Amino acid sequence: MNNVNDIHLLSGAYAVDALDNDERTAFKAHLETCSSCRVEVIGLREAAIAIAGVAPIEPPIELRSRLLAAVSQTRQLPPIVSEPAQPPFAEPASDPSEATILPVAASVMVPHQAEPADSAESARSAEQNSPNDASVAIPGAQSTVIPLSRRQRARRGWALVAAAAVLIASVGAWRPWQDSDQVGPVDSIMAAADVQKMEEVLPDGGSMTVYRSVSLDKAAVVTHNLPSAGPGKIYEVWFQDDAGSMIPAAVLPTNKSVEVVLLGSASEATAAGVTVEPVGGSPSPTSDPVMLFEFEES
Amino acid sequence: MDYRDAAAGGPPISGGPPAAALPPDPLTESPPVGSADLSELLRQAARGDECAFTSVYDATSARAFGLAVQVLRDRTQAEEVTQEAYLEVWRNASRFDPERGSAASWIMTIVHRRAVDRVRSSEAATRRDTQYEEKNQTVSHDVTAETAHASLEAHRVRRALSSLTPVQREAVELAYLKGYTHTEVASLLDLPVGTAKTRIRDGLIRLRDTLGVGGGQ
Repeated sequence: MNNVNDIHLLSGAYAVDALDNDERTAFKAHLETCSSCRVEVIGLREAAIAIAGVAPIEPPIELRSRLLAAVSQTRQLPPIVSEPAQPPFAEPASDPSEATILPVAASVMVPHQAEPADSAESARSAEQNSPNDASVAIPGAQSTVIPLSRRQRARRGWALVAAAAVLIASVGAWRPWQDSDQVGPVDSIMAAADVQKMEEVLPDGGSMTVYRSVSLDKAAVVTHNLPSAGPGKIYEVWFQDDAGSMIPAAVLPTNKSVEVVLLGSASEATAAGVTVEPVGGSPSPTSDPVMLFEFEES
Repeated sequence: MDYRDAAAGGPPISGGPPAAALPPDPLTESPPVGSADLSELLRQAARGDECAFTSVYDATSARAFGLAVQVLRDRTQAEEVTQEAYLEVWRNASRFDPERGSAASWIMTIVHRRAVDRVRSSEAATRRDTQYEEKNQTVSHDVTAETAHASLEAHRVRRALSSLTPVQREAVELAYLKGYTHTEVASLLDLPVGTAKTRIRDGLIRLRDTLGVGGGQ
């Protein structure tokens, strides 16, 4: 490693993390001054990840739920604005210096997330979106429809509600930034040990998945790119009970990927159905179901 | 040469084979995400868009988890590492720079780095024992059995891998898929110290050129 030619040859080992710590530090320093090695490392990393693509393994769904729950509670680092502060070829993390940033970020997050005015404001602004868009209430009922893109904001609203409940139960226990209360209700249904998953794909594209947990007595609907229900129309989700009655459970915006916790008892329901209804929803179905999810006997 | 143009035609993240050729994937309801889309999704995630982040995860997690399992040979640890790595992707999304490589490469680099760190930590040191061959075979079997799709892309990469010399290929795989340092690779392959790093580099260069990926040359 004494001469310059030698260090260039470390590009491949660097690209696949096959250097020991000293060599790695030396090569990172070299990269700052050697543009041809920088370009080479980029190309060699692309080649290496192609190898990883040969044997993909689908991770368990619980991992996804855990991750997304953690993400919603994790503050993001700001962009690096002043270049000189960071070496040009810095790695995204793993460096000990990054680890020291975390506790600071966490402590900054606390007053922000725990600020009731802020949470209430977020919840309000989520509700004020157009009826076809964000939180669509069923007539005479409370249902929460959260477009995925707004979950971060809306969750603070949930956290507020959840925290309020905690306050009633045990005074002084409000720590929304670390309580498991902040795990989204959809995530907890997806992660339930007894979850049943049913998926329907529509002929026009778009899909809907129902997750039902008898132990939680809850069900959730996750939609992906639902086609428009038509002008002035929306999709409404119903629970069917064993008497065959249809009970309104949620109203869904179309052309959106959303996650919805259905209103009502999922353990007593025998099926969930979806119909096309006028905007705002109907108290009982006015058309035949476009999708039907039969539940397993509970 | 504009690196992103090169990447767009390359293999990262199911961009290659037509959508219809892929079997339905229960966890990935979204259509295949191209390299440029993945960059854009990551930019959106950097602004706090959890939906975009979810799409990034769905489009890349099977390779990431596959890689973590290969390196760690332990599903529980691979799950932990994958979760940590994606949390890091989320935290650092604003620091992704498309000029320095594709989004897929950035993500996989984070996953790989964490997996290798875990492997090299004292806790995992026992893995370098005499059962190496046996464990290796067990995992290879699992990987084969659980591989969700033998896509055209995988076929292309296998072909490219077979264009390497046996020593190059072994050196690259021991380093990348098993997490060994080049010094350890040299020892395993009975190469003089200092030779393995050249084999790894030569192998990766040939792979890069055969696949036509990356901004090199």
